[in-house]
Amino acid sequence: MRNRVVSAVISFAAATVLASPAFAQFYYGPSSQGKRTKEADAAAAAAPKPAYDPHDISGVWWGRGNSFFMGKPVGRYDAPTISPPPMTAWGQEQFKTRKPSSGPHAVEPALGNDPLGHCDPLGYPRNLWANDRPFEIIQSPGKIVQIFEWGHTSREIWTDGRKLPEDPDPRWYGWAVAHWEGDTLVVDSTGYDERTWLDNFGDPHSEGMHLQERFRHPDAVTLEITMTLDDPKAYTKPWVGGKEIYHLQLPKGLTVLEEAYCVPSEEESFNEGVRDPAGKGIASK
Amino acid sequence: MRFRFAIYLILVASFLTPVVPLSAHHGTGVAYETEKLVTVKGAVTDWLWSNPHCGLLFDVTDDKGNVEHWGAELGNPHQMSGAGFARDSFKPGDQITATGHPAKSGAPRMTLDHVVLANGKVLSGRGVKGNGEHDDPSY
Repeated sequence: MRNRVVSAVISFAAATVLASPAFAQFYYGPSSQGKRTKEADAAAAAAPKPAYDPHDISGVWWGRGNSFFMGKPVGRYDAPTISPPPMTAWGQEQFKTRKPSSGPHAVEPALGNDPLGHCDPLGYPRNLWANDRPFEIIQSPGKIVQIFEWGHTSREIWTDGRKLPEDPDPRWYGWAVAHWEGDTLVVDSTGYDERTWLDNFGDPHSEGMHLQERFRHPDAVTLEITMTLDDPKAYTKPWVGGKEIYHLQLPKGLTVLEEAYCVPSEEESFNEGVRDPAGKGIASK
Repeated sequence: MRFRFAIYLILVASFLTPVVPLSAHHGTGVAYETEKLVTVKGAVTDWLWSNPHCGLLFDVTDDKGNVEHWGAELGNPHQMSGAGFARDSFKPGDQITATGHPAKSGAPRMTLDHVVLANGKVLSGRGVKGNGEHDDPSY
């Protein structure tokens, strides 16, 4: 009994100390290979459970290696849990031009044309699951911002009641508005630059793609995202994804995203020195 | 003594452990023989400490004096520094022994498994996933 009391006191003290601003420090999340420390693991284990508010989805979220895209496992193309809808003739034409380095049509990166290979913006929704990296949500009155670790880039979601722009200029991360329906945040978006790929396999979309995402925060440490993609120019019917689960990275407020930039000039040197000779069978340098 | 022996066993076991691709990033399984390993000795010509991939370039000279320009692919600086690599780990002229998965194309390129420096120090990125991506070789 005495031991239990002592343990409880120690746990409470640890949680209090870790939560106090004086001890605030930076911890890379568990997705950060090589930089995750034992101190960060201990801090996560001792962190107090965050206060639960179904409308507060702020924090760093990670799919913990279970990243899926609309039913397609990101790493294994051959076993989709959801069959994508057939592409239209336009969609097929776009898809034929794609030379990805993943999936059944994979070619060496040096011979491919994945925007990733030259550090072009991945755009949305690809950056949500690309590379199995986490993202952070910051909420402010009238706007929610998603910050993606890859590229350290952001997506804005307006929550101030405005409507989606009509015939918007396309953007890499589109135009998004959202409203709450009970405890579900409904995010509608469109106006996506069609140079971006939906995924690592080169699946296409048009500028007219409309995404509807439903965010739910069923408990203090879980975020669910369900996405429906409606793009009549590229697909013959809407593509309804499965429920994807993201986990809050603890301690909340202390876990930081890696500054994962893809630097075009540096990648160009790398491609010239290593990747291109590897893929093309020549040694240029 | 027992402790030293245990360390020795761990070291030996670590090199016998089935090899996980060091930098299983974008297209690694497509471009490299992830089931094969090659080891070459050479002299560093350049060390690219760059995002999102580091690169180690080195020259390998055979018995007849023929020079072959080699290159190795690694993960990004954030992850490689966590594995013990640094911006100043290599400078031109350093003698190294590099082990990695060779390019399928036959070009003298590899994705690095580990490298032994002239002073015997081993830098291993085994298990470090490039870009934090899937370690699925098909990725």
